Amino acid sequence: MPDGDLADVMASLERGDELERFNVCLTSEDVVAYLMATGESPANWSTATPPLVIGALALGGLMERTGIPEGLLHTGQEFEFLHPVAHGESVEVRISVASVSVRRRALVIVFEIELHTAEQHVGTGRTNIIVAPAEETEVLL
Amino acid sequence: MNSEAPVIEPVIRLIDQARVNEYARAAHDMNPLHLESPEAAGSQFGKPIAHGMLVLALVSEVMASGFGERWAAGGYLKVRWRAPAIPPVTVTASAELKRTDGGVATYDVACTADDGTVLLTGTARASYE
Repeated sequence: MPDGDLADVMASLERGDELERFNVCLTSEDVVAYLMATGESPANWSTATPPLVIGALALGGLMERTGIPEGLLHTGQEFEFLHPVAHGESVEVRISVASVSVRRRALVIVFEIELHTAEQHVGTGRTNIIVAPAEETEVLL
Repeated sequence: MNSEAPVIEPVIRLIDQARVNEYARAAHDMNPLHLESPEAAGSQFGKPIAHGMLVLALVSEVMASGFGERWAAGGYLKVRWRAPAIPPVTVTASAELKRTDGGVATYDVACTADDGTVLLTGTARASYE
C-alpha cells in the first residue's frame, strides 16, 4: 500500500488490488471475551469459533491496511461460512478489491474476502464501504 | 437432523457504551468513532456509535440459536446497515422464515432499535437437514 493521507490511500485502490495477506487466530479465551462482549451464550461455541468474529477480525485487518478516513461508512456485508474453525486454529485472510466507483461524490469500494485455514477454504465475504465527504454521510446512511 | 426449518426467537439486547468498549477490545476494533473520544464527539452524531459488526453479531446469534454449530458450516448472510446504533439502545434482532428449498431455510433478518429505527436489514440462510 502507498504511504500518504489515509483517504488518499483508500482512493488509490483499484479493482483487482490484493492486500497483504494476514492471519487471525482466536484462542478459547478470545472466543469467551468476544461472546461476553456481544452477550451471546457460549453454548454453541465450546469448540468452534463463532464465524462472525473471524469476519470482524478480517475487517479490522482490512481497516488497518487501508486506513480509516473521516466519513467512512461500512454500509453492507455478506458472509458465507463454509466450515467451522476450531478455537486456536489460524485463519489466513485474503482480501482483494472487487470494485471501485463514484456515486454522489462518494467513493464506493467493494472488497472480497476469503478465509482459509491450513486445511481448507472456510469462508467468503463481500464488504461494501463508502468514503464520503463528512457533510454528506448522513444523507448516505 | 431436523425435518423442518426452525422458528427463531428474537434476541433483545441492550447495547450501551460499556458493551461497545468491551466489544472494541474483543474484536480489536478501536476506531475512535465507537469510543468516548474527541473524534466521536466531533462526528455528525456528536457521540459514539456502536460497531456495525456488534449489531450484526445479534443476527449471527439468532441464527446460531436456530441452527447451532451448523450456522458455522454453511450459513450465509447478506445485510445492509440502515442507521447507526447510538448507545444506549435496546436492539431487537429477528429472523423471519421466508422460504425453504431443498433443506435450506432463508430468513428475512433485521435489527431494530427501541425507538423503532431500523438499524439493519437483510437475508440469512442455513441448512436444517
